[in-house]
Amino acid sequence: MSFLAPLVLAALAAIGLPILLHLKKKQPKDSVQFSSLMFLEESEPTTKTSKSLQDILLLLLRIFTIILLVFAFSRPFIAKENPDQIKDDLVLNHILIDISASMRGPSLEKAKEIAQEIIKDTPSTHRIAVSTYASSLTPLIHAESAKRSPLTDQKQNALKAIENIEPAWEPSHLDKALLSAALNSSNDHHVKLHLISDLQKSSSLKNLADEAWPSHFTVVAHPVTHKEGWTNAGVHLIPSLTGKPKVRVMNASGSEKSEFELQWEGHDTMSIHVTPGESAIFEAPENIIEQGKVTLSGDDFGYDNTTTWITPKLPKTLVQIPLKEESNDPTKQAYYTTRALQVSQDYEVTIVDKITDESPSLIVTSHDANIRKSLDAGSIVLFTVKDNQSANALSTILNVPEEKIIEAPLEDHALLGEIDLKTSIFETFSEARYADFSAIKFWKYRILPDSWVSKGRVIARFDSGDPAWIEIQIGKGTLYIFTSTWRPIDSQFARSTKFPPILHALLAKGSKQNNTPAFSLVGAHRDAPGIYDSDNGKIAILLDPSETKLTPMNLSELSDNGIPTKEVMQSKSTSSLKMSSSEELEHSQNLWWWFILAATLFVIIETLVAALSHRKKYSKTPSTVTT
Amino acid sequence: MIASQQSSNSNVSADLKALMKIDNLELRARSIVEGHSTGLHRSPRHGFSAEFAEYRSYVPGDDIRYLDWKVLARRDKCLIKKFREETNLQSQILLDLSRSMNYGSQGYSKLEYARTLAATLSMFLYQQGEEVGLLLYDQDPIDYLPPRHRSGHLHSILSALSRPADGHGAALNSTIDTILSRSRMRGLVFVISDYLTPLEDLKAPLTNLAASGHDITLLQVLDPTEIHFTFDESMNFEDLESGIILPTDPNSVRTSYLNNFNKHQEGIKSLCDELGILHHLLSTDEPLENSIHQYLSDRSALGQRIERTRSH
Repeated sequence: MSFLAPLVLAALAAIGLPILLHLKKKQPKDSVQFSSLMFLEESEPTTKTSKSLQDILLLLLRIFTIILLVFAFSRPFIAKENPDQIKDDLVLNHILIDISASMRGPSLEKAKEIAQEIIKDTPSTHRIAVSTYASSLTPLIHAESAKRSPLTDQKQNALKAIENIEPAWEPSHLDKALLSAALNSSNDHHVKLHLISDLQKSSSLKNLADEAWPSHFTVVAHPVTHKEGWTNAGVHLIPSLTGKPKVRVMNASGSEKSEFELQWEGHDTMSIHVTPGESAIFEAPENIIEQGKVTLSGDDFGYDNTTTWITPKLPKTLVQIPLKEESNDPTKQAYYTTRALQVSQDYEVTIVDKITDESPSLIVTSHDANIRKSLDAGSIVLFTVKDNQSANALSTILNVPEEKIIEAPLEDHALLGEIDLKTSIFETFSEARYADFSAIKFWKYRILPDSWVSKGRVIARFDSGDPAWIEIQIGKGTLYIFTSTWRPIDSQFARSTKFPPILHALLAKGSKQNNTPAFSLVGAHRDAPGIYDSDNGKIAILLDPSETKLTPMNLSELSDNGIPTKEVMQSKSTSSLKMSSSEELEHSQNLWWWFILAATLFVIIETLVAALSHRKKYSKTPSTVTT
Repeated sequence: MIASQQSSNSNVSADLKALMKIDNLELRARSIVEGHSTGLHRSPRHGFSAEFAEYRSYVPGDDIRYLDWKVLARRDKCLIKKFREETNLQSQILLDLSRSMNYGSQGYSKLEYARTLAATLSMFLYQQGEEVGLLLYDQDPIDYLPPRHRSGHLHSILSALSRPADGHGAALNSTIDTILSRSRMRGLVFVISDYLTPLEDLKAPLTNLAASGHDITLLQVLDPTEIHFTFDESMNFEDLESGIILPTDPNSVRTSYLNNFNKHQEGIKSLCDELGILHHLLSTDEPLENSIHQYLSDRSALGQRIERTRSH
């Protein structure tokens, strides 16, 4: 049996009290006057009652009552064989340190100190693995290598690894890190993951809710707290290809201050006011230089106080539309395609009718079979099925046997039925008010052989159930097959408001694959913020705005998201986890209640026995009268 | 004696209790006396003589009829005329008034019992025409009524007997001295006490008394609990005389108590045998009539021996 409050057991000393009282009772309290003591010899005054069985019974009852009461207040529980409890040398302490941008500066130093303390407190029989994480997990001492290296070196290796930790600029993806750590942990060790982090509210946890964690994996959180009265504001560029640069200044909720200073490079400092928990957008002043830094001052953390802007060049996109000469004939597709793709804020569009060396971002065709190369290179192809000639070209592209296609038998017209609005080209219409495709009537469409359709994914069907749009991944590129055309003879599609957005969605998709963006968050292209050269000019690497939100999360959020933390710890004490499980055990067993019950029973028996003995004693006493 | 005490039946005991409840000592004594017709001893009367023997000083209680008025008138001194053949066998009752006599487990104390005994004896003797005297003592003589036989004397004795016992001990020395100095005549001396004093303290006075030729009877009044030590439970035993408290477990000391007690009793007995003194133990649960009857038979058995002692 174990006790949750073993100190209370000291009260067992109270057993001495009834024993003392019983011993004291040996001094007879009754006295009798006697004529002369001349014949009496001094004797040990033991009373008959103190020797009697009843008295010993009373004493035992009293002692047991005290023992039971003391036991009850010590909160006893029976320590069960815990299946999670593995031998000491099979425990792996995995120290996971957050090195995301928000940990830069004193926070990381504090984290290192906590880690060092944990390592010092770790029993010498445990193994220690060390990892860091920001957007992903980086093992410094892998669990496997910790298992291989001798126990004596564990602490030394861990301390050494911790010394060399450098902060990163990436945002913290706690969910990814925890999942990776759990996946990497082996089954033969009980893994105690010591998570050392500032546990920002913005730390991503959304992917964890449905995860099933291994039974031998527990997480102990060691939050790195900031000093009282902290303030953190951050400045973040709002990526925009046109117009004047703008920055968003965010003030973390929980900050003390709300007054800051913002300076665009080459311009005077300006005072700004941002309420904690809010953000404000500031436009660059007039006559700004082509690229530069925006600096914020007035808060306690410097990592997010600088951002950069560039004047981006529009990405160039190439659209190949064969039979360009048809672009002036309103009965042909090219007429509408060229017009829909004319203007864009996001990129410069160049329309060609023949394949050049450069692979185009978008190819719109209904008969060209020589586009396989471009698809492999990453182009987006929109193939409209016009007639059997189209079918031949398509069989070549898909590398399938040639088959005749059937003209759908329509009485009047067909409409688009099922549309997968999550697909990138239809995403624009995912809002209900834009999702009405019922105004587009199709007079004709073609039915493709099932073997062709099965090559890809149907993303839209006609109301008859026949495929309308099919998406097929080929090489780096994507082939979209539209089983009708937007010629007026086939459909009203070209005249609908849905037509340009779909074409531009295709173009944007192709453009992304072919161009380096002008703005990017840390991690995708470069590991630190700043301005770098890229294929098409400059790229500004920006810090993830979520890192500015230093507000610590409520620690219960970890367990709310299913992370196996029985108790999130505020302190460095490693025994607390064990304590919490004991408390649960004690709570579930409720042994104290039985002890109280037994004590009550003993008190009742004691009372009865005492009453009985008292009655006997007084009925026995001889009537000795002194006159 | 112990055996007889144990055999005492409850009826007798109840009678005794009823008797002890009678406040009037005279009535109490009379009720016992009237149950007995046997005399205590042979008639002590020897008749009067007119022959003048001597003068002696008057002490309170002397019959003023024998006051020599002429001497009083002439010399202003109270002198009593004594005549040679005047004195009878005088009886004197000595009663111990030490606090130990206050003990009793029968609903009445030893003193009550002893007092009744003394009253009964006085009445007996008085009715036989004896001169009866009373001496109350503890460490010293408290009250002394010289032996007389006249109307009112018995009443004085019975009144004196109702004194409370509050002496811190009983010492016979000075008491015996008083007796010896006051009475030159041989007579009966009844010493009523519990004799719970060391034997050494008894030896000298009793020897002196016996040497003066008195017919001595030691009447030892004891409570049955003193004789048998029938206590059961551990208690603090408080000495009635000294006030000393002794926590005692009776079961463990009973044997030694009884040994000591019996030894003491044997000591008294052998002392009495040696001095020709009649010793009689009276247990307070024994009816007084029985005790007196027993005493009389003891006495008749010892009659010869007493006579022999007197003739010396």
